[in-house]
Amino acid sequence: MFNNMLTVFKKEWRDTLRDMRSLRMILLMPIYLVGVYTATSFFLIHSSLSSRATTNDPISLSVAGANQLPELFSFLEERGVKIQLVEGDVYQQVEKNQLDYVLIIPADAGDKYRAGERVDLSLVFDATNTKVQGGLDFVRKQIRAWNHVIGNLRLMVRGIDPAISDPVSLNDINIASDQKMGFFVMATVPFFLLMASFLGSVGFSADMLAGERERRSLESLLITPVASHWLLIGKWLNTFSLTLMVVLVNIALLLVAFQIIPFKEIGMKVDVGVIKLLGIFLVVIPVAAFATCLQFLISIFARSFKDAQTYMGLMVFIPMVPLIFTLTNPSSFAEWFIWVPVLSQQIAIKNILIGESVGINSLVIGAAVSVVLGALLLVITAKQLRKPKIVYGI
Amino acid sequence: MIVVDQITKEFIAHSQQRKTLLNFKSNQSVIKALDNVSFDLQDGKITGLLGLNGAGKSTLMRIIYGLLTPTQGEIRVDQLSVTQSPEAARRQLGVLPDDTGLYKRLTARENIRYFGELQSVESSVLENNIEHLIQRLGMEKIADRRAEGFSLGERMKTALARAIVHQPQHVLLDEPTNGLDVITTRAVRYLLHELKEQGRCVVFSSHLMHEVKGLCDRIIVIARGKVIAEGELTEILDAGKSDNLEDAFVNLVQSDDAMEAV
Repeated sequence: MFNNMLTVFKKEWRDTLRDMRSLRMILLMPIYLVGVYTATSFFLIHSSLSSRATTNDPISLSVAGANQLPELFSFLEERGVKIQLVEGDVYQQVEKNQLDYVLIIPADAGDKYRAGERVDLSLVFDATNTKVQGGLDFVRKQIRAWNHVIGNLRLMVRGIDPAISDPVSLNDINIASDQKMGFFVMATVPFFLLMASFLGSVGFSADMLAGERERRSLESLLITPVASHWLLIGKWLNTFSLTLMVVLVNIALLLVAFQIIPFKEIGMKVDVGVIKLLGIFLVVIPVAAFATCLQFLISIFARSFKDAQTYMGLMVFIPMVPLIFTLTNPSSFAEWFIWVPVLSQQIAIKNILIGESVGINSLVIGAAVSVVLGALLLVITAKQLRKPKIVYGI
Repeated sequence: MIVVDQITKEFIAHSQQRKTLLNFKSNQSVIKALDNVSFDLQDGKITGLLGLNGAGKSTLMRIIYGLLTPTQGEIRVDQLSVTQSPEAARRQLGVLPDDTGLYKRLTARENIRYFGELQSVESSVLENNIEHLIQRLGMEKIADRRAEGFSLGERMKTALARAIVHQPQHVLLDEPTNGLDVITTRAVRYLLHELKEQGRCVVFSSHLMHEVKGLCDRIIVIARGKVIAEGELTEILDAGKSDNLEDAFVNLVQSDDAMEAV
């Protein structure tokens, strides 16, 4: 009966090769995916560079309420803040976006300051106006710093060590900005690969069962004495090999994209050669097996070819879940991750890309779970194949 | 020989009646497509299943080739029970289902060969069989053309060749000459005679009187899921109290309707 399976496999390939239009379409998919990846990477790198450039522009601060605290003003001006005095209803001006943010200094501030009392300052801003955040944080930090300096001076004048009121000092040293960009650029690669393995040959899977039923050739095929599982495996091997082909093209295009994308500009060294990409290909194979089996299950239960394609379109969301998860929780990892198909491979591919070590154990477990689940789906499909409900819809 | 032994097939029909806007009443009613049907289909004979549309001919065929399971009863193909060993039973059958599709990107020859290979026919024998069928059905001109754009007759001939390429002992044809022109119908007729001569069991369903009359050794008349007459042409004519098959058939079906009404 193995020969029957080969017969089906050969026939499906002959059929596929004569369907040049569909073949061209599925090869367009990796081109599209890698194109989108390259474009987003360029965009991310570009925006990362330009956001740094804007911090060199002077930050301006609008102040309402006279020149009460010249010491604070000169402190801010020293640090590059341009001060401009404003009048009128500042709340309204901020609300109307005429001003980004305003510092309100009360009229008695000068007297209170000289008397050594606490002065209440207010910063008026609109939190929904996202572009003010950077400048606002900077101004806030500077005012707190001045507060700190003056406070310490007052303590020292009274002969008290400032450390009494400052038991701890915390320095933020931020070096992550570029690496974070690099992480984003790299973390999306597994997604694009898994996407290709999930959707690579959706049309062919839909055609294989739902389409064949619609064209009324399925019944004749089922009247032959060939066992359901051999028929199915023959057909499945065709879609599976097609998917692997799509993934291979995708990987080859990624290799090209890695040469083009200017990782160097954000200080990132991408060291992904042919060997690493082959390793990634091996990791993707079980996912492709699982995905094509799932496509077959959908295809057999769909009422028509169109139905099948619609349902399979929804499969896009499966590789998206782990992508969003890893993007929002970049460093989280739990032992059970390696048992979840797709998520396990997502992590493995990411680790291979950024040059971290990948445990053989986790690779084997991840692959085994996908393959076993896929086989299970195929068994269910095979059991359904000759049911009247599937063949005749009754 | 195929033995149809007390076959009953029931379908559950769902009908929905709307009482109010949101209150659907779902009714399940049982439809008896076949009701205790028994007969033998003998080797070396052409048997015609005659019946109106919806009489149960296709359902019976589908039960014989095992894609529908009977509610009661059993089909035996050369002693093999179809329900118990469907694969072995199917090996003995060559089937042309009604309205069957070809693989349009394969040539006629490739379509036929694919099914021969699925039937595990040895390749030199297979090529001989294909060549023979192509000649017999007059398909030389279309044999190596892709099935895309075939006319109805060309499709039917290819499907027929595909159904019997493994030289099965039993041949089931569901309305094989439906919509075919005279030349093609004749080619099919000669082929069926050849199969009969080789001692095979040939069954075909039809609602065309002249087809059945001209071809069949035995006729089985089915109406409302029951066998209402069975036998050679003369026996059917006697039962239907007429000297032409069409009148006899109509009489039989109408007297059955009258019985049903009582």
